[in-house]
Amino acid sequence: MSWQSEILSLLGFSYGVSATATAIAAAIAIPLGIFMGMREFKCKTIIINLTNSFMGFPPVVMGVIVYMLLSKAGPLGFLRLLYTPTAIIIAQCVLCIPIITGITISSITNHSKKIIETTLALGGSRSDVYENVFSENLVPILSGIMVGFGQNISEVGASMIVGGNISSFTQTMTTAIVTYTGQGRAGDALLTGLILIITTFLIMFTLTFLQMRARRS
Amino acid sequence: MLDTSFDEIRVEDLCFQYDKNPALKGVCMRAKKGRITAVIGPNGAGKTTLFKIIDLLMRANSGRIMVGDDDILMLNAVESRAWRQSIAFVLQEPYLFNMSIRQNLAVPLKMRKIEAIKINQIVQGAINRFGLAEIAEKKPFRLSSGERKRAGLARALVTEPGLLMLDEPTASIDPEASYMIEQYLKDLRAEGHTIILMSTHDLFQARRLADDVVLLFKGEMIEAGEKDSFFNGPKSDITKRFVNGEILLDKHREGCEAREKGSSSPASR
Repeated sequence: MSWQSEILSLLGFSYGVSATATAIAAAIAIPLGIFMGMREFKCKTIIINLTNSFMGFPPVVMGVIVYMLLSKAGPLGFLRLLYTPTAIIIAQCVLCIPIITGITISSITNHSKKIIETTLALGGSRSDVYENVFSENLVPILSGIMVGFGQNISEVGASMIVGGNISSFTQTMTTAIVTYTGQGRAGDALLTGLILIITTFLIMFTLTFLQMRARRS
Repeated sequence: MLDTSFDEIRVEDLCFQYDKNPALKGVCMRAKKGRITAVIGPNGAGKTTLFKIIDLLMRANSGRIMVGDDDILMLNAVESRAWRQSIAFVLQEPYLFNMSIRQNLAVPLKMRKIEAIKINQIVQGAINRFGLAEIAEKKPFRLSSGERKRAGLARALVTEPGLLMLDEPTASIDPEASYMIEQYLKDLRAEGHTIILMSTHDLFQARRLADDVVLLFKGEMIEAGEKDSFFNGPKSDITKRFVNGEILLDKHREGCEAREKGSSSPASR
């Protein structure tokens, strides 16, 4: 395989895995964040603190935990997912959930009271309330998704441990950089890093631009 | 099922407390169709709490709110929504959704599942009536405080509510916008289909606009009556002091003293 096609396949795989993991995480974290942000319950502060603490959870440690769960001797070993793209998606998803949940909770907690009161006062139903809380907080929720995606695309530890860095199967851009460096291919490593930075920058720039337009228009 | 065509709303012995602090202590009052009832009182008197309880956004600890023969505090969830759909409550700072004013005006109508063509007609009518044509396509963050209040009032009135509650409708807006809102309220009163309940701590506004006045002070209903008798012959000492502006002056003085204390305390240096 030529170096260009190798890079292209790495790019496609990395973005595919990270986007899938972020999408699954968002599907879990956004409803969870909205629910927790809108409700007042006893242990809310503790749960918010825990969620915020998990935002900074080291990916490599998460990798070890997911590895232990998916390894042959682990409780989910029978699924035979270790060293597969699915394993990387699971690890990145778990890393991403606290980030999106935390950002959603903080946005909803700050802004939801007036939205709830207004929607109910206008004669809205419970589902109208959830819909309005979601749509009125769309911009910060999108920020949460972007931060989560940024974390996933740039992390290396978890992908390396649970994916195994198998060339053309579970190798991502970041784990490939580690391999190239280990092989003494510093130029390739640097170039791959540059491509990763530029593509991520372009994606984030476009998303931010769309986000700003959504806010202004 | 709740009768949503009503001529009068009666609040009887209403009590409410935040945690353990009583916010309303046995409040009684009534408001009638085709009249503006001003609920006056200093900050913290319980005016907003009273309105939120009438709108069933908060649950009272005890008391009754009678509409015809129905006590709205006894309504179930479905009936509560029907009640809210038959009335309108404009918060002190109306929250307008992040969409154009035209779309904002359509929100309560969409919630009532009205046909799109009819929604467009009603919204256009409201835009013309409230002079919102210039800002109809603008988003709320581009508007002044007065424009937002007018849009909030227009949005509340598109559903032709039987009861309109306004929490400090002209607070912190310029005199021109304030005058326009007062004119809308006068027009609405002249139409005679709506019970208008507004809170204010502006005594001049209460004198200008209200037909009936209710004074709340520290969660208690001190005095209620027609405007002229209320202002010209107050019965209680608190009403006399409030009408003379002494209570508001005391509140202002307390606020100044607290600020001065705060700025001269060692911690704030």
